[in-house]
Amino acid sequence: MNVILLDNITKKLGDFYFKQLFFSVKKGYVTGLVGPNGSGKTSLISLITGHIQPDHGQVTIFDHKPHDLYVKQNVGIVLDQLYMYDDFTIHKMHQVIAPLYEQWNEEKFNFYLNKFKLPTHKKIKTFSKGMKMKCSLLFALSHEPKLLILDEPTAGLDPIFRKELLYIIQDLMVREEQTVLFSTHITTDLDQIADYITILDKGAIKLEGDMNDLKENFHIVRGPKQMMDQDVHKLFVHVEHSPTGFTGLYQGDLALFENLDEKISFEQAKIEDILYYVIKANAKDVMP
Amino acid sequence: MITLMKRDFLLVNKWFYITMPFILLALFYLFGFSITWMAFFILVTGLLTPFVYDEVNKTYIFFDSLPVKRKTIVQARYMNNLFLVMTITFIMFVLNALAHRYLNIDYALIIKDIIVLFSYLLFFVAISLPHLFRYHRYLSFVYTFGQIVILFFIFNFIIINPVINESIEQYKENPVINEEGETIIFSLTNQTFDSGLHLSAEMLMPWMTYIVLPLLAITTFILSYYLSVFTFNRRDLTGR
Repeated sequence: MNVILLDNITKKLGDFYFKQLFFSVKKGYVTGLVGPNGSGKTSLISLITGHIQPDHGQVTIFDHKPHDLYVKQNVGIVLDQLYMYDDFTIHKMHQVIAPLYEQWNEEKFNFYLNKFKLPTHKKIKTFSKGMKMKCSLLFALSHEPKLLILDEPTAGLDPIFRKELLYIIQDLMVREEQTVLFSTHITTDLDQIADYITILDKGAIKLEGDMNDLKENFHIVRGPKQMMDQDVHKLFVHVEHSPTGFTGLYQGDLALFENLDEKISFEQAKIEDILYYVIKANAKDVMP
Repeated sequence: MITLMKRDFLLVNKWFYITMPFILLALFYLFGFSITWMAFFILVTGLLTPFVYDEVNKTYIFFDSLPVKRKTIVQARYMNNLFLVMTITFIMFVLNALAHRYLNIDYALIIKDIIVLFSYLLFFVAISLPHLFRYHRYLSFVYTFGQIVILFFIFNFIIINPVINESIEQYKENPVINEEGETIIFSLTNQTFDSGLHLSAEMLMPWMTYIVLPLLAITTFILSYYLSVFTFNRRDLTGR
């Protein structure tokens, strides 16, 4: 069952646009949304959260419209920045935010407050980027949302907190029917937690699939220069050439390469590799 | 909605509320500021402050993520501004009454002036808010300030001056003279402007002025609310 469904979405935002976009997030899984800077990840999330409205098509979350109060009660959103009053303290924010949620869990709030070691009476403008992100998470998690949307939450954070954040998400996934949409350009975050991956570039989905399928089906192949010809080239999603050989992303059964005499090596492609080669495949592939 | 209304009050530093009465008294007594214009400038400050904070911190994105409808966000702002207009009108009335009694201020606002002041303030809010909800941009703040400057000139040269000149003509034979024996010169920059307030309204709206004017102001305010809801509901809060 899909928790998020974007059906035939068209949206123009200046020079950038989404054209007849279909996108879905399955219930009970972590879906990673990856793409280079400017690929439209934040805009896609803005469409999901209802911050921007599509020109055509329909966005549904839990089968409701994004602005429906049922949706807002059940969604936790962590944006790339904390858009809160700089002069507010966590104490003041709590006064404003907590009464708005029907299922606000004060125990959970205090639990995360202690876990993140955030000061309650210090102004937000004195917080570091990491503290602001923790603060955003604190409020996003305290009403126990069924769907958690994270937009570049790890950008600019130190590796320790990045790791900590991934553990928090893993802990959340223990809950039944918990769904997470995690947008990032730091793909290593997703290797650890994602069940599904969607690669976005220039407002279009270039690839999407089950993480296990991607790992099984995509391989990085390295081989000598003399092996490469037009026919072999066509087998790859994209190939990078060097003076001594080539490196390419191959999708499919590796048995194809078994009978070849040339020295070639294979390794399972990481998300970063898949992202790189899929994006590069859009550009013209020039043979040496 | 109460939570959202409370948010705007939390935005303003408590020292502002404590020092404001003293600042007003000083402006009123030491510099002879007009009650009407003081009311307008306080209103502009009160009206714009939450929007400026929203723009600087882009909090409208954050609040749009919370379980509140955009309509409720608009409602809360309109309720706050209605409350602000009523409070300012009341404070100005009290301030003027105290000053008239204890500080030798000649003109005491009468109920007619209060109705007119309330209506003018409400008109101003009704005109400003849809623009602020539509754009949330610094340009709209300039626009709101520009509005008050334009209003100032319209009042000064088109409405008040003819009213006052007419009064002066009438009083030529019997000029308005203060206790020191000087002829009072009507001007927007001093308290004598306040005495022209209800006269200006009567000139603008000669028929049942003190019923039609506030009713018109309230109607404009309600229509303005619907316009703000309409525009804010359709607005993209983030862009590229």
